[in-house]
Amino acid sequence: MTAKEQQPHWLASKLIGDELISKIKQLNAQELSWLSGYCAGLLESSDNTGVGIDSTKPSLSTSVTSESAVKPALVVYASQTGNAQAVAEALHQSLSTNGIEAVLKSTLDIKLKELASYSAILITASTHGEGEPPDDAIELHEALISKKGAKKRPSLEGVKHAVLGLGDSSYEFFCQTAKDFDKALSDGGSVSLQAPVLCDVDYEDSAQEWVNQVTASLKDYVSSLDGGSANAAVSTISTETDVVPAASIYDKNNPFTATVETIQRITGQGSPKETYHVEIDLTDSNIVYEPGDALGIIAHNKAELVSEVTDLLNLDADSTVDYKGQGITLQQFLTEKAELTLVNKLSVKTLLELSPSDELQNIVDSEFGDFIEHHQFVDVLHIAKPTISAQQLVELLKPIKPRLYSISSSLEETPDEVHLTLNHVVSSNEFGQRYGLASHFLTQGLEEGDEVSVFVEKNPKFKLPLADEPVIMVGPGTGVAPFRSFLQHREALENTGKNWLFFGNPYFNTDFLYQVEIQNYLKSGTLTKVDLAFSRDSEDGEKVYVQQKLLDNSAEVWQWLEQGAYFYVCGDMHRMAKDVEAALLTIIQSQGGKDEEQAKQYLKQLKSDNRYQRDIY
Amino acid sequence: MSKVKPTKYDPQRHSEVETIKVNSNYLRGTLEESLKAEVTGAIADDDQMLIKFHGSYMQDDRDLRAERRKQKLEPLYSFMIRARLPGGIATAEQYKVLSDIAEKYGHSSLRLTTRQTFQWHGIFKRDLKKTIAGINTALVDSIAACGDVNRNVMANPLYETSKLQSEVYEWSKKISEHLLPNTNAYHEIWLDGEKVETTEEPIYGSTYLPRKFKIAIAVPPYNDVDIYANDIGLVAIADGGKLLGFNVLVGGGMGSSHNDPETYPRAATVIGFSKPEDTLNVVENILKVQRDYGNREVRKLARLKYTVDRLGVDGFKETLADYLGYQLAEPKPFKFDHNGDRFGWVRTDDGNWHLTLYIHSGRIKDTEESQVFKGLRAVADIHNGEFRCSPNQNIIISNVSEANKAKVQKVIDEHGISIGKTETPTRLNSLACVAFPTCALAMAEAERYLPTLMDKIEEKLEKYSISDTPINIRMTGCPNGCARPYLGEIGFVGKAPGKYNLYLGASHQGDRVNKIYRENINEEQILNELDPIFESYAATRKDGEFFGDFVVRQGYVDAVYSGADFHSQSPG
Repeated sequence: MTAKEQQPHWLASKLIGDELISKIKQLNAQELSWLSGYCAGLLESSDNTGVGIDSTKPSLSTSVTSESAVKPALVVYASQTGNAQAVAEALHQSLSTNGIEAVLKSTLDIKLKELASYSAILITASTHGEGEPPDDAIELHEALISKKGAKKRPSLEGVKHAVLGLGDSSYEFFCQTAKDFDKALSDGGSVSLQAPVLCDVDYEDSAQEWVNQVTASLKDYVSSLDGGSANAAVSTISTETDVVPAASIYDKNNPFTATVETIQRITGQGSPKETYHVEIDLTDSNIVYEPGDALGIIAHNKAELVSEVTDLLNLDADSTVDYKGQGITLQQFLTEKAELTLVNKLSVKTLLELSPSDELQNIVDSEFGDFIEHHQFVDVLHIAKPTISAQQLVELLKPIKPRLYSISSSLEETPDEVHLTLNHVVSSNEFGQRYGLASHFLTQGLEEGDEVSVFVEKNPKFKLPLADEPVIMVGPGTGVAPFRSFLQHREALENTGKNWLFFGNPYFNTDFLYQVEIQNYLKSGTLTKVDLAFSRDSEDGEKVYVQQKLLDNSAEVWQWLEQGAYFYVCGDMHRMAKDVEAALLTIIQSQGGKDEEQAKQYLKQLKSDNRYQRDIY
Repeated sequence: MSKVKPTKYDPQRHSEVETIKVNSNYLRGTLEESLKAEVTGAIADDDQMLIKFHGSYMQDDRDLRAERRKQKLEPLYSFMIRARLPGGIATAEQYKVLSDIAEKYGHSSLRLTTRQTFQWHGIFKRDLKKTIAGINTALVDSIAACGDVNRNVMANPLYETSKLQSEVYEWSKKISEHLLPNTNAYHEIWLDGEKVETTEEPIYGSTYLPRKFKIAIAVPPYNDVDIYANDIGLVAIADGGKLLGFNVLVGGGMGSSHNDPETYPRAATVIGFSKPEDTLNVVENILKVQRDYGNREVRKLARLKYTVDRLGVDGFKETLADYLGYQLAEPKPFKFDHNGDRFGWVRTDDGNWHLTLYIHSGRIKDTEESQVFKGLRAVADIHNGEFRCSPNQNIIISNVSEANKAKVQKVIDEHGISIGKTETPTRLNSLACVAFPTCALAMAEAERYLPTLMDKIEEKLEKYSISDTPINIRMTGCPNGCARPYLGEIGFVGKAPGKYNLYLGASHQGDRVNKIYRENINEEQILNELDPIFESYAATRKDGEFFGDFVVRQGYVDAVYSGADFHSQSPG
């Protein structure tokens, strides 16, 4: 059966409706062939009753056929000076020589989840100072030994491990890192091949002995597996525990209660910007999103703002009000239901009718547009000093709006997570400091481990093209968010299309968002080119923005467009997006030999071909 | 004894650094590409080794490392640039330029080093070329200020006989210039000089030296340059004001690794005397012996001190004689009685005045108490003499005329700069390396912590009424020895944050290194260990006996005369 033939109604309702079918129609032969194999695999591994529920979700790069090969061993080093790395390399070499398949990695490149995909984990780790791990191992070490890590750590049942420590016995916490790793692996269910070997300053001989021992015992272990009947440890590489997601049933009226895993400021000390990276756990939600989509956040007003409102109106926060036929406290209404950080003209008019104020009336009549840029509802109360009842307040306020943020992660990279990249919005006016509703709630109001209500808002107007198409991404500031998702997606699926990112922010030292990731994408080749504009770093005071970088690269931008590149812009609507469009038109004119009108026509064509997509706000 | 053979470059056995040097096209590497890479504030790995030869180190702010890792930002990389300033002398005009560059690119801070020169810290990659080019406008460069080459040549900065002083200074310049690398790489990369192919390094060869190489000249009775800590020490032998020649010392060096008996600090050995006209020939050939015989497999065993011990002092002298074609003459007698700076005003025989300032940890930087950076820059405006760097991270305003003396003093007073008259002699003699946050090697604090520890040590000295006797105290954040900790009568060498190895018993004159007394102890333990020794020193010291000699006589530690002694078990 091909996708064209029939579309059983149960499938449509169960999956994502027409969208899935239209997607399938876009696939090329190779992709269709993969998909058919994928579905066949699902069918085979289930008994037809619950397709997709207990089955596997392989990525494009892994095979779905049930191989009976032994999983490779992982040799991983946590090295500061290179000694632990050298021993790991020796072990890796020794394993290869003995016909044991093994992967060699630095702790820096290990993800917690992948640990379960090896038959054995062999670690060499040095220790520094007062029992500290090497720099490159800080994250993995923390992830493994923290409580949070213990929760996320995959089960290591059936895995074997061995640990070699390098240290200096004159320190109190001799080889602590190695001990920690050994314990964490055992706690996870792995069985140690032998007790950890802890080496002192003169480590060479003991290290060599360890290499020999580990090689020998692993060789025995592997041959016992090959000889014996298939068992748990010999499962296929593709066995992951992820569930094929069904359609998400969550929306703004029925959000999913997710857990905030990480709230991390990602602009460095001294930065003028407060940019945050937020990771939200979606485990068990079956929520599906694609690069380009947005996440809706149901935020709460902060307590100080609520009490500022009740104080100004002389109302008792504990009094009960009628909200849609239900009795709730005014406190709860103002915290969860009422839009307080925006100013609504209708609300203001109602307020003026209830309690006239010349000053407020004046603002409404003359400068309202300007006013609402810098003020919130509470400021209206400061000006009008009205006298209204709690119930009147309930009636006049608008319901709190969910806030949407471009998603900055890809499910291909982090299957149970959604990441956001946002600025904490702070401003001040004559009445005090004012905060953005959701940005303040997410970055200041919540703590890691807290719950938050979320839903996915599809954005079909901002989507990656086919795997081999080139892409130009212009995303200064937090506009980089969807492009992080794009890059994660394209790297994970090994898309062959070229990628070119334009990024800008005030300062290189503090504001290069996702700098290390972007460097890694360049290294891996996922990113073909990066151009950077740090506006405040220039010595002569002349500020350079992304549009200038586009113009500096006119010839090449044009070349990419002519090769069919898709051009994406994300971020500030008022200045950046306009300036970028102007730059793009200039390039089309100068490089394409077109007049102004023809350039506009060219851009229009790009738009109708979906090759000029914007997510601006 | 079988004769040690010279080594040839062997990529199989030699350390990775040797290969980097060979493949660098005479120190060019990929530095130009590295400077252009906009996505990182760092330079390529190999270039990090090569840039040292250009007088710069890449560093990062270690205080921020963990935080920035979480922020998905790379470490905050920046560069240290070290000037090549033979004898440590800059004219007032030059100082203006060096200071203004620091104001523009270096956070308004200069750092005086323990080898008589200026360093700029925290220069970001995008400003690196502009900074070096700026320094060059003062006709100062940073060539070979770091790396496996001859480093800045030190010389006594202040001697009463002004003619001898300037003669010795000239020798420091001549030696420095004679031993400069031949490659044009520096001019091409930093100064946009014309690209000229380098085909040979006549003195160094394409692998340069196995390790850093340090030369100093001392004029007795002053040993403020710590002559025994250098690969080559030249001790000026003079008759009145006339320079007769130099006693030649070889094989001094500070670095060692914790718990590694193969490594040790070593005080240099006197091997002979040389007439002035032979000086360049002698130092060049000592350097060539080290070039050919130094260990290129294990970098921590590569300094000349290990080569000298491997060949034996006599074997080394023989080999050198082969290179020179003659034996060095017998050394002349000499005696040091002073190691440290002479603070305040000193007058030389030409009638000029010299003012030695106390610069805390060598940081020329404005603080609330003391406007050192602005103050020295203001002095440069009214001063037509020199700024001389002392080997103890202090600065001497030199060759001030009688007429200008009061004006200079006034500027110094107005900016609250110390002339070393209010600190205890022990504090004035204390020395610390940079360590955290910028040094990649640091295991513990040094410069930022020593003042706090000194407060507490001074309390103890006060308690036993021994504040007026100077004790050399040295602290480093790691065992590599930048602040010459093994020449401290009390030495602290960092092991981990808050933990130090305590060394005792170097001589006050700096010709005997110290020995470990306690390992891995914290501040409280340090003070508890020192207290009874201070008490006993106050009660039972001989007349004029220095602390370092006292602890050896009393058996707290054994005297160290060789590398083997340094690691042998102490009775303490």
